[in-house]
Amino acid sequence: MSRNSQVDQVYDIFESLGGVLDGKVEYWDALYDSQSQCIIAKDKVEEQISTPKLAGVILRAFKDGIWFSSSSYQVDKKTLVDMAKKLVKPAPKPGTKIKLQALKTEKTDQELPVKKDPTKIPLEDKLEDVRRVYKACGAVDKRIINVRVRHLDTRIERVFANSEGSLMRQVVIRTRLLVYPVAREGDKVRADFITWGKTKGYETYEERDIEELAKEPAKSAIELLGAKTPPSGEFTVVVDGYMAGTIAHESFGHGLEADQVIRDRSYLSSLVGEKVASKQATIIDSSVLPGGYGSYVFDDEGVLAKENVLVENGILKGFLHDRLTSSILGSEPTSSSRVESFLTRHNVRMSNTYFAPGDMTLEELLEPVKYGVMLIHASFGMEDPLGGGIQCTSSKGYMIENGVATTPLSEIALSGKVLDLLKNIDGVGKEFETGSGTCGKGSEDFIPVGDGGGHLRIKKAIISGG
Amino acid sequence: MRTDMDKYQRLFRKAKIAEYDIYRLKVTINEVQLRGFDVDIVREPVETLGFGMRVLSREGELVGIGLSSCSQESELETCIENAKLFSTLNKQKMKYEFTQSKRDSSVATVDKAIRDNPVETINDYTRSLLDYLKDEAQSGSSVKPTFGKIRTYLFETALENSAGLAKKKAETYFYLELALKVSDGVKLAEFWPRKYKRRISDLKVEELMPHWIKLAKDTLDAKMAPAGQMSVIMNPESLCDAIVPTVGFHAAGEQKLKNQTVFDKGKVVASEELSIMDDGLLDYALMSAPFDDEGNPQQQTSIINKGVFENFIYDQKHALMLNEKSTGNGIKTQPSANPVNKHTFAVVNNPTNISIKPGNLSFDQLVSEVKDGVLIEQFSWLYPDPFSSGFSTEIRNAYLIKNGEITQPLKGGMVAGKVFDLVKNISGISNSARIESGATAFSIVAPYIRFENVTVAGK
Repeated sequence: MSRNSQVDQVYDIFESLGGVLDGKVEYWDALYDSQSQCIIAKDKVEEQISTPKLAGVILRAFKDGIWFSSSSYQVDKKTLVDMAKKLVKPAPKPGTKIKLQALKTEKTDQELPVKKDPTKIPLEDKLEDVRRVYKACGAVDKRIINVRVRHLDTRIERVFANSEGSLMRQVVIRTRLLVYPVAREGDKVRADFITWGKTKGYETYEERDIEELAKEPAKSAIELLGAKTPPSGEFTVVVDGYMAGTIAHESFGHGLEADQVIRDRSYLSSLVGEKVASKQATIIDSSVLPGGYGSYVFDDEGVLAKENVLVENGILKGFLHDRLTSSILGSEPTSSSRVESFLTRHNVRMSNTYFAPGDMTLEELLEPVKYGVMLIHASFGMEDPLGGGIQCTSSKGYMIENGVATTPLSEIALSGKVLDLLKNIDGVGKEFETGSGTCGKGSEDFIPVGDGGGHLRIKKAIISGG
Repeated sequence: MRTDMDKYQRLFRKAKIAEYDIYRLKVTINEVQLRGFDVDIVREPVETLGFGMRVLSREGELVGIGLSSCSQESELETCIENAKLFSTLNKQKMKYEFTQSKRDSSVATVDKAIRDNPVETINDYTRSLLDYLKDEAQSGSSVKPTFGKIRTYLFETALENSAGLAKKKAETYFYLELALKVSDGVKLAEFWPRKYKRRISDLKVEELMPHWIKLAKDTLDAKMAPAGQMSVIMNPESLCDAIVPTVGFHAAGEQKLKNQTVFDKGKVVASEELSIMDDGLLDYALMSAPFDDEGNPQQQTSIINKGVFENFIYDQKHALMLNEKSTGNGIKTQPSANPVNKHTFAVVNNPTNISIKPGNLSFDQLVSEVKDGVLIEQFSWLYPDPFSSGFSTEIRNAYLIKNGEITQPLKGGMVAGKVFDLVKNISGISNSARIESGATAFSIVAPYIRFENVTVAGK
């Protein structure tokens, strides 16, 4: 463990906050957030190396049913004690009376293990890897006119303390590669991308041959130059693991964030214990998935990370909670309270959200489909917690004809109602994969998450092309 | 002239760095969030300070640019040494020099109420909003807020460089996000808008709420959109998400240099009705500023004039590499990243405010000429591919237009196509534009536009 003097100072300051806040508010907590990154980006014109750093503290107090919060980049005792004093001022107008449930005191000091600490890898070596990937991708075809490569390693260190005596520290390191080739033929310009990211160290790049990995989106971008516009309407579709993950996360998971339940804004509020999906569907959110891009030691309210089964064999099991929602709804916190940084508020969020793998091969999933569509390479999705609508988009696809993937298709969107879609799953693949990305709450507060699963075969899915 | 940034400049000289710039950003945020009619959280204040710097190394025609950033003054010396090191590692054949421009453009970007008294301003607004919504509820309406965010920002930027540039600017923003739910006992519906403005007075509760409440109520009776090729009228917010990431992307000098643009000077790229300008100088528009993030004065640049592509927009680097002049379009940008951390971002050749010239039709005329069509109020998430301009997005709140009349509310179904095909099929533009933000893109000044032969996938 390598605690630096800044963190020792944070421990000292946090231990002194009780003198200001204890007994004057119902509950308080403090979160020190330090984030340092190394970004190496390259394309045909330039290379960029940068090492952004952020650090600061969020201080929160709960009283009269309201959170009062203040954040500062100044991590010194005077600033934080002054902030704390301002938080004990009486609330101008009490809100709904809510009592936060007490949780047990936690003492943790843990760094998620990495084999190769990226901060110890020489910059020259990282730059060379980025150049190798760039070259491998660009060499696939003369029609690849540019390649963007972006390496990112992030070290997040957080220290948490609260009025219950918890004092916790974690260090989480993530490593991620993005390869984004652009193909051109005449006036037609098409691009595809691939990401490879883990909550791991630089060994992430040893788990796959990153030069071979980089060729995949280049071949795909070339194929997209000749791709057809997808048909629109109702089809049997087969989606890859990344699309499955986007469905699990965007279309379904956001509706299970219990802040939406206490806002009376989730279409899933009354469905716990009910069948919401085909019995072949099991959906999990786990912040302890080894290497998962959304994994951590504890959430930003000091609750130790855990696995939460959201749907088991088609039955809805429960919601994702923070301290407030679990208090109001009489549940246990699920380690789902996360902040983007010290500059944003705590929200109920997912971590690694995925369909549990099934037992079918891709060939077995495709075989009975006479005329359908395959969607691969999830590009984005958007939540609709109240309406239960779905919008998940893949950057590419194929027609399925007589059990075989045939004509390449350009961008495809899935639409309709999530529950209709989930109930129409009739096959789950066994090849499990999870992707790495960032997730916004609405259109802000971006945090690292993982999502994935096996291939899914879904009947009567509504699709349209872009 | 001595400035408060002099002490930082001395650190570069101490490190024997000849060419550099340093960008200091202080951001103050205040916010109230609502849960139903109750206050959920009060955040006051949220403060951050950050430094971003660029260092140049030269070796003949090779130039290296090192970027580094930090949030503490105590880390500045390390940060400068890092930038210096990075600039020696990535030298390439390119042109770059820091701007010497002393000129600034004049433009209004500050709401004094937000700058001087943010807490009271937010509290007054919150009270006014809640009073309005409570009155609505007491009148028997089932419309209620499920959550809301009322937030102010003050951005204070200082930029200096080794070429003698020393500039400062202040900018304010007001953010309102509100989810309005309506129920008839069986069905549920929602309107969930998000808006940024420079001034709080641009989002007056009594002007906004009647329309937003109507949209929520109407969505309760919504049906899925029909299927087929038809007229689609997009509102300014939707146009922001459609036009900025596509036209704005292909109009950048960077894409010209990289052969990634489909635009060329003199090429017909849109219907004759369409004229688009990059307008960095419109008072209180969201990306207006006296200078861009490299210190070049912002300006107005015609991009498309009567359907013909006229000019690329340039940041400093791409202007130099293409023997052009900067148009004030060097903007610190990073996708899916919080703009309060923009001191950490690289400068990107991006548009400021994409401004679409209004046409000559009233909104009513725009609608009255439609036989079969859809009026879009809100998409779920319109996020076109910047290269192909392809998109496919779900309809959240819309209306069916039949024989010139707005009729049935719509929710569900998709609108799909390529933005570059849409802009070649414009049949009408309304006669007034407004400053808006989108869900995925940040700033536009736009009227309503009617497109023909658009694919709608519904029932």
